[in-house]
Amino acid sequence: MNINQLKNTLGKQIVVYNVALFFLVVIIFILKGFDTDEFSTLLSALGPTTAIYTGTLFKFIGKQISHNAETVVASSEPMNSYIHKVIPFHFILIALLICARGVFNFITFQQMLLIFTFVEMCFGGYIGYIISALLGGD
Amino acid sequence: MFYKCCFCYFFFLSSVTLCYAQWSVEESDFFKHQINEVEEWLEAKGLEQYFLLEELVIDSNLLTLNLLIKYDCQDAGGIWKGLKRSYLKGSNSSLEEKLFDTFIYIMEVKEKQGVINIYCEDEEEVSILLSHDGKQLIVDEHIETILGYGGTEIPISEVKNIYHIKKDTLTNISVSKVRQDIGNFLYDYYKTKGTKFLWSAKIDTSKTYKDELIYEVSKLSNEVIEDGFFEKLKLKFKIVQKATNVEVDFNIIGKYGSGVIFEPKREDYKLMETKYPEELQEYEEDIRKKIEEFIRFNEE
Repeated sequence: MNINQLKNTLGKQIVVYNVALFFLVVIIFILKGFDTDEFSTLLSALGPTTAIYTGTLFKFIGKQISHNAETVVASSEPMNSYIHKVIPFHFILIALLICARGVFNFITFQQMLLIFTFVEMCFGGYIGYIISALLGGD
Repeated sequence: MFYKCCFCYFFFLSSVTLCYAQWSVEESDFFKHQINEVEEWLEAKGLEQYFLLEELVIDSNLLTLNLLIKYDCQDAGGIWKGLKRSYLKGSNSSLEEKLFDTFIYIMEVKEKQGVINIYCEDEEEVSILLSHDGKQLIVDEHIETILGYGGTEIPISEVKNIYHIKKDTLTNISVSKVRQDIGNFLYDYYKTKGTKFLWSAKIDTSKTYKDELIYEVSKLSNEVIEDGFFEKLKLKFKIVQKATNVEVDFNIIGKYGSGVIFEPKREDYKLMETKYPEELQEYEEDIRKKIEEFIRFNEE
């Protein structure tokens, strides 16, 4: 897979997972898994993650339109599969955390936010780097 | 002999531990978390303009809520008296009782384990201590002078939607009959209730005493609030014989929390009275009428 294909695949993944996560939160909210205060707190906590992903993605799309770049550089397979796995893993972890509180009430809302912050601190920075390097850099 | 001694020693140790039992770390965390609930309740009821929640003291097996009256000590006594008068106008119970009951319910502790300390900057001028001996509320009020607001009334509108204990008088009926009827009604009424998925209502009557019926019903949904949250209610009835009449004091207090399948943890339950005072009042009125009807119907 060349860099452009990787970028496209990642772009699709980011869109799909972000939309899925948003719908998951909304559906749980509709099913009364969160009250209005909790829903707004959760959305504001999800904001930075979404901003990192979508911000870089839109930057990439913008560049694609203006340059119509066709850089064909071979990328190493292990790197590909690593990035392919990390992004879904990050989203699935957040989704599980939201379900653990909203659907099953295994943890309290405060605990969910605490773990969520921890996950974001662990993943957010690195993911930001990778995504920015792949989609944002020249 | 050795085993007997060991047993006695451990029995002694465990009883000492029980006597001086302290709150666990989880419980202490829960109490700290619940301070916000107390603050929100004071704010929703308009009491935050009179009281400042200074701190919650977590002693061994005792919770003390310190409320500072936000006025000069000269005016504080009058403010307190004015608030009590204005509250009594719309209720058969006292402001002290309301403050204490709400505090105990939010913290989920026994009545004996709670104390509210209301004071002004100089505690020798104004100090009101609310505690409970397990049977009744003890009010230790010390007010040096009543100036300022002492003569003026605090308008009842200042005390917003505070939920009042209602009183009903039933004639020519015995206490035991009323007690039995109320108990039967509540059991029949709530046993068919439950949540939207999976759960049936859980009814706890373990805190019921001779002249006091306490029903704690949890795992409810769409009962008081139509938003579909998990709900739990505490229904308290005090039944007293007065000559040929029976007087029934009762109030309902409740919490709600979000969750799709399982009940929320106790930290995630919020006081209904803060956000849904009208709904709770309507529900209480509805239950009161249903019980009255049930007692009258059984009489015939």
